[in-house]
Amino acid sequence: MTIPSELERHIDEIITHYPTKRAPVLWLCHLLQDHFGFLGQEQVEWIATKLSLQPINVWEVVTFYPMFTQKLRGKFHIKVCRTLSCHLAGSQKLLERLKDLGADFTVDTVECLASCGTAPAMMINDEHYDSMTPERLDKIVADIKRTGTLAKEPIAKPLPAHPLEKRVLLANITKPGYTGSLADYEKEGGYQALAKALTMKPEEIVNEVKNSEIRGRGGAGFPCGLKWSFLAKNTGKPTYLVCNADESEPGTFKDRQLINYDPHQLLEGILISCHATGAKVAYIYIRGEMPHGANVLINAIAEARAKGYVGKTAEIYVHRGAGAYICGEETGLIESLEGKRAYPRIKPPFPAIVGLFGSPTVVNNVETLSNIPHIVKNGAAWFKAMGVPGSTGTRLVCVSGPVKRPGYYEFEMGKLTMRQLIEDVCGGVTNGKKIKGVIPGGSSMPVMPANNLDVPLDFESLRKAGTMAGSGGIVVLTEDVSIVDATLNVSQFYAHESCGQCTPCREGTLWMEKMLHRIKDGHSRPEDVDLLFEVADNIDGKTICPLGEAAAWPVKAFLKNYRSEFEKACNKNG
Amino acid sequence: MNKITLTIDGKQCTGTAGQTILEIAHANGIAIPTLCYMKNLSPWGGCRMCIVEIGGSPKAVPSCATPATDGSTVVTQNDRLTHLRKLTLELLFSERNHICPICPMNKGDCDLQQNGYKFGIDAIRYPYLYPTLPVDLTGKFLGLDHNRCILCTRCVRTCDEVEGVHTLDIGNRGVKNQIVVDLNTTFGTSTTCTNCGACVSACPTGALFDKNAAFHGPLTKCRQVRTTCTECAVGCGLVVYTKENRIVDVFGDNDSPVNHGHLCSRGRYETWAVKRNRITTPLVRKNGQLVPVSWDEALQTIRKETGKMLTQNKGLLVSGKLTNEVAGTLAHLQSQVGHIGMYVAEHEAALCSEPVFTGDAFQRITDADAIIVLGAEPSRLQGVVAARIRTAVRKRGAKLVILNARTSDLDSYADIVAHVVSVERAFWKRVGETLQGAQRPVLLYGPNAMTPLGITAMEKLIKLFENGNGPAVVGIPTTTNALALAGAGIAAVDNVAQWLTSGPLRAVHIVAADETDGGAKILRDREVVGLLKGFNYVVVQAAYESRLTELAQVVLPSLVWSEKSGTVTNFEGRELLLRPVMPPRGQARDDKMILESVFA
Repeated sequence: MTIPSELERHIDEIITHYPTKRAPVLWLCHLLQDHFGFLGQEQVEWIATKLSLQPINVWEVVTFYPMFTQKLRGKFHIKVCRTLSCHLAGSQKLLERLKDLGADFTVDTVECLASCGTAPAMMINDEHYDSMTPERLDKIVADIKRTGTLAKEPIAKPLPAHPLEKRVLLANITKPGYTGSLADYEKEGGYQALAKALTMKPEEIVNEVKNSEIRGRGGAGFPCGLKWSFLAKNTGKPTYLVCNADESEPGTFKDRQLINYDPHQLLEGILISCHATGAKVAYIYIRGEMPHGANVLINAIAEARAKGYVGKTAEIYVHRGAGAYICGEETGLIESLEGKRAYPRIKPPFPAIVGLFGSPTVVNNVETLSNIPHIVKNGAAWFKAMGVPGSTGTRLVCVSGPVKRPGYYEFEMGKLTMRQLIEDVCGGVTNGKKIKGVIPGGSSMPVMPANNLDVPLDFESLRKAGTMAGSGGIVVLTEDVSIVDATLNVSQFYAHESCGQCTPCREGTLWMEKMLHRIKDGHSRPEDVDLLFEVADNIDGKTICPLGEAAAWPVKAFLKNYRSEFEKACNKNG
Repeated sequence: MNKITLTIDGKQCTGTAGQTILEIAHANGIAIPTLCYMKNLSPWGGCRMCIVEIGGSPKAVPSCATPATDGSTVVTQNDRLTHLRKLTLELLFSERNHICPICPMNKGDCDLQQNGYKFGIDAIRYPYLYPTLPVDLTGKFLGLDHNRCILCTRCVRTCDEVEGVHTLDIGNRGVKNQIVVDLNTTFGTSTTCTNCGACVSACPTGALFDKNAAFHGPLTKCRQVRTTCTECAVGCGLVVYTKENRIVDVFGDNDSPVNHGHLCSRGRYETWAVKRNRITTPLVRKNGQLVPVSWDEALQTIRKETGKMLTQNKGLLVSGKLTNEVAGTLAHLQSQVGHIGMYVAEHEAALCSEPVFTGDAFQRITDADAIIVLGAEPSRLQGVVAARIRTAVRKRGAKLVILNARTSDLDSYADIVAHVVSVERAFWKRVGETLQGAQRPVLLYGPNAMTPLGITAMEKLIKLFENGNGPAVVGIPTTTNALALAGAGIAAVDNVAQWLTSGPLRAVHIVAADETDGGAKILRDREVVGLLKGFNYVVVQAAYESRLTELAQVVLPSLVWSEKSGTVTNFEGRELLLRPVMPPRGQARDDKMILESVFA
């Protein structure tokens, strides 16, 4: 096995990004797999030798992350998204077309590609395809077969703003000729907030962010300034900032847009946050299924470094994931960044005290960090003037499912109801079907029944409505959707993504999936509905990380709101 | 240390800040069910059996991984927790193929089964998954049946944190998680497994089991005896399980101040799980053949042949594995036997010339931030010491410098390895830089450090620490009790051939005890075979047949480790007790008794 010298130079460069020898494992796995097509024993041992690790340390990582393969795949690896929005939009039909393609093709399903608004989505190697139809798929496959190569698939154009929107983070992206380059970003006033921030004391920035009352946009909605203030001080260890760009909550596709169309806004936010928190190094953990986004960020960092923004006060490095939803959980992400299996850590200690590489660490979502330049530039008062108390600022929401205009939209929080969003902004449901329910914040959030749609879209109102704002991924379910089928689809996702640490989640998620299969196929017993609820309840709050809740809540909520559908399915044969 | 007080199940409990709820509960006599928890391992927190409620919060937290806070109120038992634990147990039972009647841990040795009984699990409401999983029986001593695994990772953590080799790990994800050996190979082909068996001791179910112990009955029904391993100078504590005077299994003694429950493959398996030919009756050579005789006849034969010999014509060559009590007897025999010597490993005589014990040596190795191994081979000879070195390096970042002629697996963990000690300046500069700033250095040396080159190296090493904390110098002999025997006045013999020929020896009595090679290591020098053949009379007192017993005129059966009583002194100077685990096999007798009757 030989490694080209250019590749080895690249690897040597990547290794310098990390303070431990183990952390670059995922990167090296990506690079070697890109080169050889798979990670066999030789590749694993080469990486282990390169990083002075035991081969088993590399192997355990290879087997944890589904993007890595130990066997050579076909030259063209087709990955069709099978998760909820794509499933509703007919991804199954795509899969049916993908039979007997020959040895050049490997076909897999993949868990949520974060393109729910343009469902069904799929990837072939590193190319991403939106709004697929069986006909288009046939053409793409035929073209590959004819030419023997894979054509580049252009990235979709940004969506224009709807009149009801209030675009702050998305303000630049639809400006004519805006490319997201450094020059374009500077033309729109970019990096002025950083210049201002560098004249401020770190505490002043932290206070400004605290006063803005911005809450984390990742899912839990924890106040960002408060999170920063928990960072352990005077530990003698460096502080790390980690940007969570592992957008994988089904129904959510907002961070993808912020990265693809306006990467410098995020970089500026990271640099300011580094100054505020005292971090000298920041890592952007981007999910493996976004190779384009990773390149956009790497190029943007290079531009910003050449201009003296990156590298002066803080370094920013990109770390690629490899297909694990659990890396969206901050301690799972930290483990993954350290080059390990993404097993979430037991808390306490919290990352703010013992985080990445044993140092105080803050993990923030892409959207949260993209807000920081605006808060610093315009002040906390300006930010707080948007939205409602407890939910300040704007928020990106993603709408998918059978609506006329699915997509991502930015609103002042609390100023719009769910009904307005679906009916006015998204143009209502296609084919005039009735809404059966709405998942308001990614598939892990409890579903809202149709009679509850006048709830304003903010953290508190949604909480009062018995659900949560989550990650802002809204999935609309119409009357023709089988709830049993939807629940099964969601459960399959969590069963696939459970890391396997905790008994109730490892087995409970699989068991729920199997049980739902049985119910759907009409092979279950009537008492299974209660047992299903009981298993979900045994996961909820009983696991190390919140994936347990994420897996349990949707099942519990679907059961609670649509119990009769489950009972009917149970009794189909009985 | 800060004392904290909390209420657990209504009982006031005190502990130290930083302790987990489980530790404090256990220390205060409150039992919390566990599966993945194991004392002295990092917490995993995954099985969810030890869940408790704190301060009325509905969140059930794992008590094994949650630090106790002062003034908190903890509930470990209530209907809800019992219900949740039952649900977890049901899931575990349904996950793999837990078929108790065909499991070697059935009826008492399985934590999963015991918890099942305790919680009254009489049926599983979930459909069994019945996965198809492999069984690995290729290991020399251990077997791995994935069908019985509950993924508690106790084996993985033990392999990593105690033995320090990290042979075992978890592969795949979620419900597909599986314990793997190396890169998904088998025990039989593993390149890193040391066969220490710690994973088997850690396994709460029958997933990992000792092949030799399987289906010999539950350990809980066996007789247990605590004794000391006599395979090397470390002196690990053993717990030996016997049934009907047969050894069923051997585990490390968790209460031993030496090994704290950990063993190497020699102590754990090789002394009982490897078949050896035992000598069970006295043998006397008649017409060129060794034939079984009674003790009386054997002793009479010896007396007849050697009774009239002068003291100076008689020699006694003994193993360094003998107990301190036998050493006492030997001291009394000086007046009747002209020459008493102890045969040892190469260069070991010099180590025995001024026996030095280093108190607390083991703890110092454990705590060391720099370890130098000079002329010693812990990986091959003192596996438990090697484990401590590995974990010191891998877990606490200790520096490791190995200066030894033979390679070992420890080399891969070392900062510097030299098989030939160089005199070059650059080399010693590098060693100096590596060890610079060490606060708790340890210099571990073995017999091979006793060569002129080794002594030069040792001097150079000690000089490196002139301006800092000097190292704890720990000598570790190869032969179990050589230092104590030398201390009792029995001279170590470096060159057996020379010893045999230097005096007017005509008869030699060799006490080989229960050395695994039957004492045949004396014969490593080919010359000795010829010399012994030329002797008027050779008596071999040994437990196992060997090339040495083949040369003898009379063979006297002695006891093995599991039948002995007495004491040995380990390399730290601890006097450790041997307790008989079972009665002597056949007509074998204690070495002390044999010597007394031969030389009475």
